[in-house]
Amino acid sequence: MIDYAYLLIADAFLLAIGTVILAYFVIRDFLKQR
Amino acid sequence: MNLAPIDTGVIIVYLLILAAIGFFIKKRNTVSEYLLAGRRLTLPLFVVTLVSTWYGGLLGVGELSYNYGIVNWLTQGFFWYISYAFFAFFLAKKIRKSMLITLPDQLEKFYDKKSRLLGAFFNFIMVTPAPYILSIGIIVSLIFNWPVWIGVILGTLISILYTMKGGFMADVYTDFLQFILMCVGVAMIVPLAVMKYGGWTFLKTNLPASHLTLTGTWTTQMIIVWGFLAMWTLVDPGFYQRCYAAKNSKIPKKGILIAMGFWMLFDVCTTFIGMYARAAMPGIDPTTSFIVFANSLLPVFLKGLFLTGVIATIMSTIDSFTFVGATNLSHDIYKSAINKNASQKTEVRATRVGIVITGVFAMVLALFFKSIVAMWYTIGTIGISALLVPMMFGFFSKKKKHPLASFLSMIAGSLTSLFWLIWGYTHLWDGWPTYILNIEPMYPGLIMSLLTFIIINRMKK
Repeated sequence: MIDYAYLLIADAFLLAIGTVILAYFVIRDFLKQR
Repeated sequence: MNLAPIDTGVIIVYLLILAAIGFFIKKRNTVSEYLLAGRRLTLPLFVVTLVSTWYGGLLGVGELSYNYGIVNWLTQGFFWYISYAFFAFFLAKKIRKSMLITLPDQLEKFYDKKSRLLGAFFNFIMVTPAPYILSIGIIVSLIFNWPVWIGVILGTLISILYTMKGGFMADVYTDFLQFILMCVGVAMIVPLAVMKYGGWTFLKTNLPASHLTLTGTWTTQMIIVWGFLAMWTLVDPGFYQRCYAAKNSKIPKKGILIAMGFWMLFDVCTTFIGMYARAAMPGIDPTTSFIVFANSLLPVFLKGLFLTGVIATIMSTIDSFTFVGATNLSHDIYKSAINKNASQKTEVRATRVGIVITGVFAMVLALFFKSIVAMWYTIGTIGISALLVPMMFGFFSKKKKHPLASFLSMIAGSLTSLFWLIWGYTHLWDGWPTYILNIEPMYPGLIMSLLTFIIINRMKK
């Protein structure tokens, strides 16, 4: 049986990746506006 | 708590960056620039400011998940997703298209000035950052062993400083930094907890069985009332403010849905951090369980990073709420009722004064209340009972609506729930309030508000 902990780690990983992607877009927009 | 110099250093660097943003940001003096960042919020900025502002109750969530387990996800997550989705699909576009500035503006558009003024009062209560200022006080006292009131004053002062000068734009830029810190802080602790303690079997062995069920030990009524509390979103001034500030009318809907994705991931992490804390360290204070658990789990530097993430999560809510409260005072009360001919410069100056008033009011409240969750509940119950019915009739009823119906429904809803709350808190049983007929205060509040609205509207036709 799959341990639910893997899903938990995947969730945290997605959160971190999502944060990096969004941060990239914020900085890109900021530089564009300058 | 004894922190290594490097951990304290991370926290100090974060606070210095906040102060630097306040120092270097351009001073803004027109109403649109100061209150809504010139309505130039792009989609990514919209998402970061909404995600970080909305998620301020980290200690409250820790308290609930430590005490009750997965039910925290149901009451603080799932119900809210329904509310966010409703807001995104049915309200967001309408709000942005109205080109207004605040939620009470919307009330005046639907009804009249009296509704606006009364709405501004309830709005102001709803956005008081008191629960979050109390959270900062608790954290600072835990980290540095200082009394709570020092943290309360420090947290308020710092957030006041940068919003006063740069207005909403300063708030948005600091939210960006705080968004990164809060997500990274929470995301990194989960795998470390799993690696140290193990997976599902560890939780199953060390937690009460009810922690791993969806409804835990809660009664159906308690769960449903939190479901109603999630309707807070529909009258949340922070949501409205960000919709008004968006660059175009498509951004709010998309932005809320993306933010919802982040909250979903975040809620799972926070719920399980609270549960790991309970399983690994039973008997600690639930309110500070996140911090005490992180202190025992994380190595040097990561500990500092996590604590900074927790502080950032809360600070982002304090500054935004203080700013919305100040806007209520300046735009909705001062400009609308006291000095109708106020110039843009005067209105901006009034907002700056409003920031100080809102901050001081919240500090006093924070020092008076002891529980973060109790404070949320009280504020939410009264605010929603007053505003929800007139706002939803305003948006969705095409029939003619009489302004008196809105005004009286706000009074009837809020007074009923306030009476119910006071009754409960003066009839404690085992430390818990017992309400009339065992009914939670929001139900009679909403029912009275709805009935008053319908009856007065009919009578006035």
